[in-house]
Amino acid sequence: MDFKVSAQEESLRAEAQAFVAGNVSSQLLWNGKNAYSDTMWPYMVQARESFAKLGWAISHWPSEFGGQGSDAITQMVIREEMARLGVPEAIYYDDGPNLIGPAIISFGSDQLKQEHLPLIASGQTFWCQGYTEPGGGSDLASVRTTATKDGDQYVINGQKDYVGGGARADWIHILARTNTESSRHSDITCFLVNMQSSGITLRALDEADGRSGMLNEVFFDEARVPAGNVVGQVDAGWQVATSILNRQRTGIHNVGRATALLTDLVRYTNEVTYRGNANNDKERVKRKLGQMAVDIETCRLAAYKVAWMEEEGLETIYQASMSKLLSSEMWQRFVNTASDILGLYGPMDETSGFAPLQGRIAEAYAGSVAETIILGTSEIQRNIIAQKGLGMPRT
Amino acid sequence: MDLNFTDEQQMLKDMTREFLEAECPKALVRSMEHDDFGYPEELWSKMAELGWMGLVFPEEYGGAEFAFEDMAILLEEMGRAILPGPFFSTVVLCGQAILDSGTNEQKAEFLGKIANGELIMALALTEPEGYYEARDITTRADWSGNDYVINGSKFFVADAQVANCLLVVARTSESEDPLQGLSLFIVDSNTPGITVSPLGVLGIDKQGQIEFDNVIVPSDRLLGIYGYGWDFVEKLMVWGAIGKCAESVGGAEAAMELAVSYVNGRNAFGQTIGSLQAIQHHCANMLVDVETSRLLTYQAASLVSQGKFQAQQISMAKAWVSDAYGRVTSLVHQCHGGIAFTKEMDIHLYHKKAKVNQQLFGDAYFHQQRITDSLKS
Repeated sequence: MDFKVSAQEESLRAEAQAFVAGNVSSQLLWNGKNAYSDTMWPYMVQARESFAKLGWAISHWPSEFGGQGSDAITQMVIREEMARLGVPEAIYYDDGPNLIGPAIISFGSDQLKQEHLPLIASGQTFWCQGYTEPGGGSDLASVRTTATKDGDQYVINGQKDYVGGGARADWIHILARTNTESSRHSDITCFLVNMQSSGITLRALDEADGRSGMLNEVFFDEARVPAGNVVGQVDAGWQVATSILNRQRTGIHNVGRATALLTDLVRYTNEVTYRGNANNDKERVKRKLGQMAVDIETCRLAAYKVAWMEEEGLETIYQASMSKLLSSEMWQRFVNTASDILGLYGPMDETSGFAPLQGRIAEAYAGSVAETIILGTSEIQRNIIAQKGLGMPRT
Repeated sequence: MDLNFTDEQQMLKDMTREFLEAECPKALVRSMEHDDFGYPEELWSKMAELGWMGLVFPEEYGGAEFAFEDMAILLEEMGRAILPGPFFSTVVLCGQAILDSGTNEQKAEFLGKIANGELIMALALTEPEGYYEARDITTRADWSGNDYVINGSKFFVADAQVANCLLVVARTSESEDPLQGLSLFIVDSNTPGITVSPLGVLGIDKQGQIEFDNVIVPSDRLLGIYGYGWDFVEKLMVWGAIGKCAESVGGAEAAMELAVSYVNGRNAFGQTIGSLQAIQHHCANMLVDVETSRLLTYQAASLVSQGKFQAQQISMAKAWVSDAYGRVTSLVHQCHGGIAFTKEMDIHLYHKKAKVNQQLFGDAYFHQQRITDSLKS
C-alpha cells in the first residue's frame, strides 16, 4: 500500500503557493466573510480568472471541453493547499467548474455545452445553486418551486433558500417541479436560469460569523426560462441533482484550514507569556494539540481515500459522506478546543488588537456551526453511511 | 497513492481468515478466558506449520521474508478472531527485536526456534509504575565481572506464564538522562531467581508479574548495544502499538458486523430495529471508526515497513485506534440491548480486548503528547 501522493502531485503545492502569492490579493486571505462585499468582489473576479487561466478550474474536465482529464488526487491537493493558505473557496472551487459544469457535460444538450462550458472554463460566469427551499432543508426532493410549460418556455414560481453567492452569480441551477401530478423524485427537472431574468429577486441572509452578502434567498415570480435550458430530460432532474450532490461532499477544505490554524496555534502556545489557559497547564494543552493533529490526519486520509477511489473508478457515495461527516465534526471540535486553549482570549475577534491568531479562531468558532448542516446534515450523512455502507434498510 | 492490497497480501488475508474461522472458533476463545495456560498447543503447532511465526524472518531462519505491512494483515485477522496465545509477544515483539538487533549467533539460536514454534517469548518491559517511559525502568542489570545480575520487578508482562524465554529491559548504568544506560537481555525463564505469578486481566489476555532476584545472565545474552537499549525499546513500542492497532481494526470490524446483523434481524414495535434511525446512526458511527482506523493503521504499517520508525503518523494511528475500538464495542453492546451483557453472545470478548489494547504500548494521551512534541510551529 502507498499512502503518499506522487511527487508530481506534491509539487502542485508549491505551484499553488506561487499562484496565491502572485494572483490573490492578501486582503482576501482568511477573509472569506468579506469576499462578496463590494470592495472585495473585484479582487475575487480577478483571482478567479487567473485561476481559470492556469487551467486548474477545469483540469478534471475531459479534453474535448478544454480540460486535462486530470485526476481527482491532483484536484484534492490543490484544494487542500488553497484552503491551507486561506483562499476563499469561490476562487478555486465553485459551482461552475465543479458541479453544474460536469452535469452539463454528462447530461446537457449540445447547445447548453456550447453556450456555457467556455464561459465556465474561463471563469467569466459565476454560478450558484438553488436546491434547498424553505421548510425543505436537507430533504431536497421536497421541491415546491414549480416550472410550468408555456410554449417554448417554462414559467418558474417559488423560493430557494441558502443560495451561496446568489447576489454575485450570473446564473443559477435549480430544481423545479414539472409535473404536479406525481411526487418526490420522478417529476423534478433541472433548469439553468439567468439571474438577470425578470421575476427574480433576492434577500441577503446575514450569518453568525459576520459574513454578509454570501447567502441569499432567491424568489422566482413568473420568471421565464427557455425550454432549451433544461439539463437532461424533463422530469429526470433528480438524476442530475444526485450526480451534483455526490460531488459536493468532501472534507478537504476543513483539513486545509485546520492544518494552517494548528501550526499557528502551536507557535502561539509556545510563545505566550500570560498566565492564561495556553500557558498555565502545558500538559493539558499539549494533549489537546496532539488530539487535533490526529483528528486532522484522520480526515485527510478519509478525503484522499475518496479521491483515490474516484481514480480507481469505484463508487464513492458513502465514503464521500464519511469524509464530509468526519471533517465537519472535526472542524467544530477543532475551533472549540482551540478557543478553549486560548481561554479568555479565545472569544476575541479581529476587531481587537489583542486577539490571538488575528481573531481567526473566534470567527471560525462562530461560523463552524454551519458545517454539520450545509450540503446535507450529519444526520443525513449517517443515514447514507448506514444504508450504502452497511446495507441497512432505507428509512 | 495505492490503497489496494497486492494479490499476495489479499491471499494472505483470505487464507488467514479461513484458517482462523475453522481453527479458532469463539467457543475456543471463550474457553481460554479462565485457562491458566491461555492457548491450545495444537493450534500453535498448526500456526507454525503455516509459517506464521517466521512470516517476516529471512529464509535462512525459516522465514518467508514478508514485510511488517503483511504482519499487520495477519494481525488484523487475528484480532478479528480474538486469537488467544503468545503470537504477539513471541513474534511481533521479541522475534522482530532479535531479528533487528541480534548478533548472527543470537539470530541463529533463537529465530529458527521461534519460526518452528518451539520457542515462546515474552517482553519484560513495564514495571509497577505502569507506564512506557524510560524513567519508569528501575530493574537493574549489574555487571559482576563475568555475567550480568538482574534484580527488580516487571509487571503487566504479556504471556509471562508460558514463555520459555524473556526479553528483559534493565538499567545497566545510572545516568542523569533516563534514556541513557538501559540495555536488553535475552533471559531463559527457568534461570534460578525468576518467579512468575499471574495477574488477573480481563478477557483472554494473560499478563504476569516477574520478580528477578539475583538472576545471572551470561554476557552473550545482551541484545543490541550496551547502554543504548531505549533506542530498541522505541522500535518495540512501534511494533507493539501498530500491531495492536491492526488487531483492533479486525476486532472492531467483526464486532460491528455482529451488531449490524443483529439489528437487521431483531424485531421490536413492529419493525426491525435496523430500520430505526437511532440504530442506523450508531452503526454509521461504527463504520466511520472502523474505516478511519484501518486507514491510519495501514498508513503507519506501511511507514514501519519502510523503516520510518520516527514518523508522526505512527502515534496518530495508536492515538486514534486506542479509543476507536472501544467506541465501537460500546455501540455494539448498545445495539444488542439486554442480551449484550450476558455471556450468551460473544461481544464481551471484543469489549474486553478493546480495553486491554487501548492501554498497551501507549494510550491516546501518551501518543497525543508525542505528536505535539513533533509538531512544527
